[in-house]
Amino acid sequence: MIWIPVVGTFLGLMIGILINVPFPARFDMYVALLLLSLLATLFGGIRASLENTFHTGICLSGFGSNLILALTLAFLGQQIGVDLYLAAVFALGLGLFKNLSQIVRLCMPQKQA
Amino acid sequence: MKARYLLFAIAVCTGVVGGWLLIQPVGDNAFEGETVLELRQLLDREQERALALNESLSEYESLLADYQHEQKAHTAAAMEETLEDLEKNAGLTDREGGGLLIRIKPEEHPYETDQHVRVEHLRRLLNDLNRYEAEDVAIGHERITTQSAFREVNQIPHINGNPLPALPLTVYVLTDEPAELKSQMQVAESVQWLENDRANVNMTPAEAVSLPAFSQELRMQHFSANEEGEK
Repeated sequence: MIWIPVVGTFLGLMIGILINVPFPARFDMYVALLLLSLLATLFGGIRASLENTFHTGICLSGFGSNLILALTLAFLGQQIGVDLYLAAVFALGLGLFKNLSQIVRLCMPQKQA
Repeated sequence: MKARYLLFAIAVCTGVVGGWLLIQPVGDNAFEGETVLELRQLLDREQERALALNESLSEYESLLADYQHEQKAHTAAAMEETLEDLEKNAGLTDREGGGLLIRIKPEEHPYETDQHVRVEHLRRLLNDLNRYEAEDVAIGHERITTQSAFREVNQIPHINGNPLPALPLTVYVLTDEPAELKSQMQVAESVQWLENDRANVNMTPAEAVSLPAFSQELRMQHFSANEEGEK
């Protein structure tokens, strides 16, 4: 089960490097937030699938709402000169690590009681 | 099954975005934020401004140095000029120019030798010369200044502390109008006194009359040397 996202990520990396699409320097913050949202969704999806609670709608809506909120915060922060995107980075990063720790725990062999 | 496809798709998207970020040039201006770019531009502008200010500073410094040098040179030149004028007026320099030669000769007298002119006559002669605007006067080899002393020691006239030789004696007079001075001196009282005292006075205008410098030390009773730094 865990190998599907690993293979997908590897494949995506190859595609991204081969496509070689440059983007304007002023968008690098938004691209980083997009990457963070995707990672959060991916880790959440892996965890949910390991727990057998995966729901497509929740996954996609969660990704969309996360992305929209993160980009809005980043945009607003840039407009008013305050680094509001840090809030999104912090929240998404925290979720990422929580999901990762849960994944690691689920992957561990269960102790016999 | 559907979950697997979705996770795979999300993983691919994540990989693509990650790949994009990986291949972005690092350290290039395109990857740097606007703030850094602005700061760099500001730094460039400030460096250019600092360069321009340094240039103008060195320009003004050299200008100031030039002014100080000029001022010093100007002051020194003015002081030298003043000193020369003062020395000239005080009679401390040799002078040459047009003037009048007054030769005082003894009358032919078989029993008297080494006839000297009397100091009073010389003093009167000098007074008359000054009255008729003679510039500078030398009697024999003695330059007459405001400090020249006329004395008589053992019936020998002394000027500036030096004895005058016996007659004949020449008086050198510097003047702009030698002919006029000659005509005025010919009827002067002092010349009459000299002639009454058995001397012949002969006056000749000359184009080149040279006067020696006053050779004695100037007495400065009311002056003292100014120490450096005093005002």
